[in-house]
Amino acid sequence: MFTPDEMSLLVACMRRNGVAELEIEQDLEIVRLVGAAGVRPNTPTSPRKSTQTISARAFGVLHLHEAVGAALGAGDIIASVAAGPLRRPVVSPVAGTLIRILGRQDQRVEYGTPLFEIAAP
Amino acid sequence: MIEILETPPLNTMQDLGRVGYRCHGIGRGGVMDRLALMAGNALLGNDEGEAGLEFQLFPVRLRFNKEIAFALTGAHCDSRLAGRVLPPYWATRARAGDELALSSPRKGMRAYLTVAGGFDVPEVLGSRSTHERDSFGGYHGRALMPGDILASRAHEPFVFRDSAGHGAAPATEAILAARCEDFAEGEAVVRAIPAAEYESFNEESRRALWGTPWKVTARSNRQGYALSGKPLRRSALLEMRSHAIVPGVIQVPPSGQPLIQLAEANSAGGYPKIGVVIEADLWRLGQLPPGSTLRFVWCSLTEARAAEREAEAYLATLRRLAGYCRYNVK
Amino acid sequence: MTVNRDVTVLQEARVSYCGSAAVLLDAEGPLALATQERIWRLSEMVRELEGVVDTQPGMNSLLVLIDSKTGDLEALAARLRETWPTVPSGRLAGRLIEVGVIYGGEGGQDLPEVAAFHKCTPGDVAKLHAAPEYTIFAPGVTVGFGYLFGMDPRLFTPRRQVPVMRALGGGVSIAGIQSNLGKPYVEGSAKSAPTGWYMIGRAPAVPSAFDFDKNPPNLVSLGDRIRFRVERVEA
Repeated sequence: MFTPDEMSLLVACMRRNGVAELEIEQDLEIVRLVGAAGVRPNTPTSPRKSTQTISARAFGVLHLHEAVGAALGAGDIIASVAAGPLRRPVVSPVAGTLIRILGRQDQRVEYGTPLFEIAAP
Repeated sequence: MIEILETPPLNTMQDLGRVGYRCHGIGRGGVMDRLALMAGNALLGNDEGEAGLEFQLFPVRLRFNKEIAFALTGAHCDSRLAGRVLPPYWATRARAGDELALSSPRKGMRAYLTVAGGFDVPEVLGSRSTHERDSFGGYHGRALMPGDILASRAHEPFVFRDSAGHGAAPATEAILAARCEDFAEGEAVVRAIPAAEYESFNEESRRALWGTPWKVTARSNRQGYALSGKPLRRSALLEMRSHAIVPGVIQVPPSGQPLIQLAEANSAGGYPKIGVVIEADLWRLGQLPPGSTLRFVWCSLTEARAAEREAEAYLATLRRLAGYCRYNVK
Repeated sequence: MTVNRDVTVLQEARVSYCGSAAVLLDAEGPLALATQERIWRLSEMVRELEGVVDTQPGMNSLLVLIDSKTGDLEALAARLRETWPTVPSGRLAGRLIEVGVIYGGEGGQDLPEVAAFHKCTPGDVAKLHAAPEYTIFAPGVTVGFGYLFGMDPRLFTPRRQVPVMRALGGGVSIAGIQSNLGKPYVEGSAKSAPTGWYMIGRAPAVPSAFDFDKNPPNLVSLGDRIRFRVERVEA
């Protein structure tokens, strides 16, 4: 429901006014903005070599497409994040195996929520 | 430029059909799953009724000879672009040389391919739908064949905000079907409004219409779905004359086994009509394979309209959000 | 002619919904030309109404289709109910087209069956069929000459319960009280189709009823008339 510019304006407004969290619901869409302090840090949970953690790049509801053990190619769409009926892709940047799913089907995620761990071959 | 490499028969170019030509004996025609076509067009920013390719039989393989954005909606096929799996109801950009391969859907029946800008074939009587019986419209008035080359029309160039494209919640997930009191798992439920001859059917038949399951027989296609179940009988025999009918009309021929007229229905019929499946549920029939079981649920005009508005809201929201995820290129 | 006493006709016109975007008017009384003249007039009137996207006469019936977003279905139904009794009959100035027919033979393979049903000769059937002037009542299920009215009731032959495959192209057929003239065969299209009608003849020089390149594309309109001419009767 908001353009990227409107989103930036909203975030700036929140910061100015010390609002940590803002949720707006309209028709089928819900937008939740969480202030910088609320963003979970992008910490890999197991500091293993050559695993990569993929995080959400959008707000919305998570839809899982792949199961643990799936062989992935670089650029494969492994999940999507839905805002209302629109789904945006979560893409694996590398080839490898999906070794952990950190999110849940239908989970509300935000920018930076860790979703998957991929082990390089 | 799309080249058809492999296709079985019965796959045609269709849009939302022709309206206003019934005086010539030409019915609406068009896609069996209107929602899927419109969703694909919404993802691409096309006019909602832009023609797509309707795939009923598989496998299908085609090659994009030029780069183009496209969408694949409808039934969830095992679909791969240049070997990479595509999620259902997805739009993305194909590069020149990419092949798209589609296999039979695990659920549902018909898949739809739309392209940015639409296909470059002439409109006939205001539509690009293929009228196969009279051989006009769509791609040379016939089903697609290997070797066919389809061009697209010019449009405002754009890039997807996400290079992997974007998609939609499939209609099956976004819009809930009607519920039926005692329906069993796996039964499809569609809503219907009683038609002119409804009252002339005996009470047992009217109860059977709403209360018993109907099997979609193998004699089911774009013209209509032949059902089998408890024979429906009339108690009052009004002389039946040829009269105009619309897609969704449930006819009852002498056998007592109902026939639901669908996209390629004749524009007129002579059999008694017991009900009309609502427009908002026709796409569910379009995605129902032979062998499936179907239930009818009584529906009022108000509910029918509400169902249409629900579908419109899904498409309007999808179109708007998808618009934010395409950037025009200078 | 067999009269089915269980079958009735409407005593008064019936207006019903056909789904949520169409209204069907079924006229009262037995099938009649005067009634159909009123149907054509009502069709023309209703086409002007806001929200109406198409109309289609049937045999003494009219379907009116609306745009579900802009049309008002209930108001349309009310309007049809009010207006119908006031619509006058009276002839439209229609054209007359003559069509030569070879009755029986290859294109009329059901003629012997129809003759046997009516306990007369194929020649009698041909004569009876070609005697009246037929009026194009309503559009058919394809571009063509539509549903024809005017057949001698003595030729009433109930539709087949089980359809049979019959060749497409200039066929003259009958079923119930109706007669039909098929359009010319188009190269490349299906050669036959299932039908519950009886093929009694073939019109070898049938004109093309529809040409996309012409404006208007249709050769004939509702209210035009067709006269069949017996070229010969083949065994």
